[in-house]
Amino acid sequence: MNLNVTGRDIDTHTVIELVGRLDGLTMEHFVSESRRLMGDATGSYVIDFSGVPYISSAGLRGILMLAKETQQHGGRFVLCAPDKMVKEVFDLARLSSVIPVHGTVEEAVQQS
Amino acid sequence: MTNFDRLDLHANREALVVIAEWVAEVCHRRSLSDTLAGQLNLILEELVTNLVEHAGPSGETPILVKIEMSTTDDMVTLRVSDEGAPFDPRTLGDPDLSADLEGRSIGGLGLYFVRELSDEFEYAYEDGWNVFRLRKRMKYLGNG
Repeated sequence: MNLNVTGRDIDTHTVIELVGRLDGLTMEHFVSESRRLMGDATGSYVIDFSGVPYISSAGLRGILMLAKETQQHGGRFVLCAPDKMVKEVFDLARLSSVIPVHGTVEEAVQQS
Repeated sequence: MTNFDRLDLHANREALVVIAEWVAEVCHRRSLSDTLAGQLNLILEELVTNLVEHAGPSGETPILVKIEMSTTDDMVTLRVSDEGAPFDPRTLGDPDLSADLEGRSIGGLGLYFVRELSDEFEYAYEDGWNVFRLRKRMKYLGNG
């Protein structure tokens, strides 16, 4: 079970690209790598879920932790491109009421 | 005659890998959709993770869990039994999903997902086992 976490910059945004499952085994790696890529958490961050086929409550815990930290530091934190399984979990948690969820990286970068 | 797929394991971190592989193999063999497989994986991960987190003082032997799955044309049934201390998840309140980001609790979602993803959910404590019975309605060969 692997999760790859890589970052790239688009304009003033840092896009964090995830490839793999976001579950109880990968959550700590997701959080630590994302924190490293987010630096002081004052910038604008887009988490790209297009490569994530599965997420559990552990993954949501990681997302909420990062979102709260970013908010505390005055940064912006959005998600994008969830597939069907991930989108359903986001909806069950009513995640988009506290963290914006966009359809694509392009939309996320334009709108945040 | 119903045919069952069964998996026995101990509730620890490594169990999550075994569960993911077992669910994928069973669902593929029974021609269930990837979406449904993901939901079943999620249900099992959340139930087992709850055991790992609430099993009791560290150093105790991980709790034995017995999983059983069966399908009909329009229903998948999961039975998950564990030897842990009696625990009725129906006594848990729902997480507050209306709070703002600052007020949102980080945890408490796992068992909520299990109940929300199940069309029928029953719990009983039988002869020293917590027994969860879940059913999900589905369209054969497709629906999640």
